[in-house]
Amino acid sequence: MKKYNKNNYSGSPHDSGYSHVKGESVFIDDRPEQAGELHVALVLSTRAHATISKIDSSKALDLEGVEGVYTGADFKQNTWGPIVKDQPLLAESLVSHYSEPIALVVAASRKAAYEGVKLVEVQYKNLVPIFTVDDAIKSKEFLGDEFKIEEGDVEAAFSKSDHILEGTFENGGQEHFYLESQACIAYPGENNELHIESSSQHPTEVQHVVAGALGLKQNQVVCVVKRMGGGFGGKESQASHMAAIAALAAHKTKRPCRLVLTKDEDMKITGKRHPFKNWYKIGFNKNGKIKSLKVSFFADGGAYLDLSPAILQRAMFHVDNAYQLENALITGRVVKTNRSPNTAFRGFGGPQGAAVIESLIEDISQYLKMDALEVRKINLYAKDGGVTHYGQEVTNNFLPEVFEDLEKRVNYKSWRKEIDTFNASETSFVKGLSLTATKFGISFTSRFLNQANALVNVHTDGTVQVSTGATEMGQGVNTKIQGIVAEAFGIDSSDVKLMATSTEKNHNTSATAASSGSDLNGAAALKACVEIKSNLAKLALQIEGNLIKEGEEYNSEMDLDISKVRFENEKILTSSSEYSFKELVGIAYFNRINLGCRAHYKTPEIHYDPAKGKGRPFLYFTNGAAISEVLIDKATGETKVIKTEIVMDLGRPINKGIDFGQVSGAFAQGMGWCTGEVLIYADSGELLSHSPTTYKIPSVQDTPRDFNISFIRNDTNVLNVRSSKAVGEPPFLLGLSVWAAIKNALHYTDDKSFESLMLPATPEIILDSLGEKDII
Amino acid sequence: MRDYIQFYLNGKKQKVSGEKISSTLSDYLRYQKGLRGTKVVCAEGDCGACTVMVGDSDEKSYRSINSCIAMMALMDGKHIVTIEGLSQDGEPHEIQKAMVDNNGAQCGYCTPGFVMSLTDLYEQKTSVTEKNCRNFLTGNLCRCTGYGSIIDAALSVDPKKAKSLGALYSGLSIEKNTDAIEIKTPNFEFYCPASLKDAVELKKKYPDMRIISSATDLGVQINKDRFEPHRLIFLDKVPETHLLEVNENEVKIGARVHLSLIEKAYEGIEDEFSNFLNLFASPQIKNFGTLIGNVANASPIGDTLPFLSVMNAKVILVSTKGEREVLFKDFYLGYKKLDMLPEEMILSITIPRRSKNEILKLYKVSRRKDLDISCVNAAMKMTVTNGKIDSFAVAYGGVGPTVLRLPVLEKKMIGLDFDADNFRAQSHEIKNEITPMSDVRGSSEYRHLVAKNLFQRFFLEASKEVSL
Repeated sequence: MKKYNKNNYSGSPHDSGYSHVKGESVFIDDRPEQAGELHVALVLSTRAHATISKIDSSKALDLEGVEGVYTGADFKQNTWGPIVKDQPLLAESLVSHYSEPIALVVAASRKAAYEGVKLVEVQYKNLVPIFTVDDAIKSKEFLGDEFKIEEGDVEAAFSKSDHILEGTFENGGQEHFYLESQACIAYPGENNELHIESSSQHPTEVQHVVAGALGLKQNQVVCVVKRMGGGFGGKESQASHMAAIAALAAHKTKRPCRLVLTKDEDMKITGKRHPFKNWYKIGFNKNGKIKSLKVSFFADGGAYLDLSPAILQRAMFHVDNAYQLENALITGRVVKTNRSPNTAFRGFGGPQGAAVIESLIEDISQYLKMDALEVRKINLYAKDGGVTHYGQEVTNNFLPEVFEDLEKRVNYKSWRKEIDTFNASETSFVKGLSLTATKFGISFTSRFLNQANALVNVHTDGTVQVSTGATEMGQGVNTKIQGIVAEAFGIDSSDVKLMATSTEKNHNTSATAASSGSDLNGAAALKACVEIKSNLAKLALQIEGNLIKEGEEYNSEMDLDISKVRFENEKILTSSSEYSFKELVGIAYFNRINLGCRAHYKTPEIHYDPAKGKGRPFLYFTNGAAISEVLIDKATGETKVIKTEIVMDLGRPINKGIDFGQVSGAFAQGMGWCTGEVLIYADSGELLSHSPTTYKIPSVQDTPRDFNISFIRNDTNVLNVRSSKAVGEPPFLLGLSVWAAIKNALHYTDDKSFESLMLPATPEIILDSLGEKDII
Repeated sequence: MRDYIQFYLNGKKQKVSGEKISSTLSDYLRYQKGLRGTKVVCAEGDCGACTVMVGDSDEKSYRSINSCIAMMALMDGKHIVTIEGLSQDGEPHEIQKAMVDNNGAQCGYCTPGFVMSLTDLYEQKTSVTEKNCRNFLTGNLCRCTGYGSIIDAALSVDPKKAKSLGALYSGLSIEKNTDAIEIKTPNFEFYCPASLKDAVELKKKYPDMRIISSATDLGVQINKDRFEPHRLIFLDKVPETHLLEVNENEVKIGARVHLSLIEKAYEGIEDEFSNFLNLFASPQIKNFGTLIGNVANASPIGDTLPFLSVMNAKVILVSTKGEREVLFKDFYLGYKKLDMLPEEMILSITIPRRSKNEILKLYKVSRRKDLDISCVNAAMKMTVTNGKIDSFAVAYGGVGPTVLRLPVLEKKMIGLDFDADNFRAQSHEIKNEITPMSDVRGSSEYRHLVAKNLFQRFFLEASKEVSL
């Protein structure tokens, strides 16, 4: 079937492919119970904002099977946070969001633990909660400081603009909906040591948070992550919270303790993608060229800071999306509300920033009666010479090629004509079409996070074990690193195995996040390979040249030019001889030559000064564009995505099959954020959409019937490992093409409205925009 | 009479008695048998990660079900095949190979469920088209792939090489057990009578006893509200409950007939309903759930209810006193209140067939088109003679405490000219007969607007069929 571009499936299949399909892959709750193992369940707040006057656990402690009830007071340090330690692990005197963990019950069975939870009595004194950005601004409830990025002179540019539009733009939050809910088992060891198995994107943080919470030294805690059943950012910081709770239970009872949240609990407790409310003013000329943009971002951080400042900052960086801003004044603040602490989610603020300008471009197009694609093209960053509003040069920019390729592929003009014709004659349905872009900055915006280390061990049979700080959550980072290492040694990828991520082997690692898992850890692994290869190459040259006297050892210290030695097809080739890789490895061992290496990598060239709002926060950009057609039922507001075509610039992909899956999955997730995924809360602050019955992620029936993904060739990204580009987050932003197409469809029905359409555009929001008009 | 259940698991005979029969199938598989390939995510039949295949001695054909909401007690006489039972001697099944080759698995957590649903697709010998793939995967959620690679995997399997479960377990003969089961534990009693007579006697003896149809809703209550049923009766061994009869005038459906069989039975004779059932729930739910379960559940948003209402279906109740018929439209007395005595049970439902001149349309509006509880649903049926409407029936769900017929509107429509003006005018009267609430699925205002618009949509669609 050509629809899904079979030819893109090159590269080794996922390294866990067979164990996944056979049901053999082990996730946290698949680990067999140890004798004496205990289950942890959480007492959750039934208030959004209240002081706690009393926690009475006596009845729970009386229950058969209950081994303990612990509260915040039982921690050595009951606060944590990935940036600022402002969040209690277990709320002690104050609850700041509904379903906030207050106490843990640890019991011999899951059933007893949950029964125990019901018996813990908590008394509250209600405080006034804040649930909206508006109310938080009114009450001056902020988290952290204001950020500002300024370029040119916005006010002067407004006065010279032909037209100005002003308004507000809002986006909703999004539940990660990783299939495996937060889960962790803490195994106590001797001398208060702890071994933690966690479903976490950030084992190092789990190790540090657990140690801090229990007053242990970091060297007493090991965290191991084999894999996650999905992460999407939701297990970047918040897995540490759950791990610390399980660790407390294990530390107190000295028995293995398992904490596996139900899907409902997970959705109620953990933070989500940040809802934003933004005020904008945009000036543009009659040809569609944007002259000046002012945006004040307000991100709903929820009750605690978590990663909000970095997320807000990325939203501000991505407000240009793919378009050159000559004059811009971008400010941002995180507001504090009584919601779960919002956190990292694929795109990390980028989608919220890009949504603003993609929405504004649809508005400009409507205002000027100009095709939105023309507006986009006139504002698009040029191939070279562009500079972002935060001062980073945009070079080797393949977006113009991507646009051209996509426009040609879909025959845009005739497609647009078809839509015009359909809408002119149809009364009860309306279609829309839009092309949106992504230019996603790759690197953590905090420079120190852009480092990684990797351990590569070559065994005597020629097989290789690789350990890095990268965690596997389905995205295929292990498969990519496997590919990098196999290519480096010239061996088959089936002889390279990626090991579970462990703080024992790789410490001081960063979260597997910011799309950078393969970039950073792959580069570190490659560095380690280079060193081992150097040893083997020298060995080959010593054998070939008979350079070692009889009775003496071959060695890796001899100064030899190894530049001509190649590693290919299981062989090591010198100019005149070839050696089997396996054989040479064996010889190396008997000659006491090192066959293992631990290497460290740091991303070059990046820097950013938040005070000035200028710098080069990103090593490079991953680019792409998507065009989507939607059909809206004017009777119900329901939307169908008819067709989507995507073109990505992923540099020189390491594994096209893996990358294809990332693009397809990210698009679907982005589409969900833009359409059907909506968080619904009761007036009390309790999340009502806390399971797939009420929270609807896209199903197999919702993805575009006609869906094509292609990659354009780009060999210029030489700064990154193997000239590849990161792929995890950038295509998420392309889900916006569906939302922009909905907006375009609505514009067909109404000449006057330039009002911002809410994101997500649910059937109800769409029908509300269409008004009470009859369809006959 | 037995005090245990007996079934087969990946080809091996198993017996379970006592309290364990009240466990869910997924818990039994994961924590009793160590078969941890079957995953539990939502514990409510909405994500499909727990999908397993179940067959029995009657139908050689295996079907997918949600093991997270299937109670062990209901497994008597079945053969359960889990993800671990699909590969033999470590050799992956063709479907498993295709999933690997097409990168159909990313994080792997939903994967076993998808593989089992694809097994269902190949087991049903349906032609494997993209459309069928999607239909068989409606009950499975994946957050990683965007589904394209899974569809590719499904389409790339060579049907000749893909072994059926019958072939994989060709040596297995499943004993047919028709004897009654009674299992009593201190907290839980389970009855599975072998005749209708015994069933009604039991229900008379224990009027508070809950009839368990397939537990697609009860299972959710057990998982989510930690509800502990005290006494349950299961009618699977009562032959009368398996009635499925299609004749010229009506369709008779017994209490134990699964929705997927009903969907098939209606194919070709009432496509409007069989197509509607296609959007309803998921294959896993339809393979296990029953129409009578949907009726007895009495949710105001039950998706089959507007259809049954406008078709003037009859509910057949049974007790020790014999059978009693109630018109479907009079069956609901209020929110979850049925015209039914405590000792009565629903035996079957009789649905008249549509006459050729009747126009029927069914609607379901939800945030997501498939496998989503509706916000509003509706059924409208009409006849038009010489340009005038001479019969009209309309039922809405999700706009009141129960599925609602609109008697005032129905009366007004009769005698009107079939034209846009009349439909437009009357659509604005609907608001007087409905009382929608605001909840997690939609606001009252939205439901009002949709109810009005669907009425207009009916006019547009009916216009294509009315011969003026």
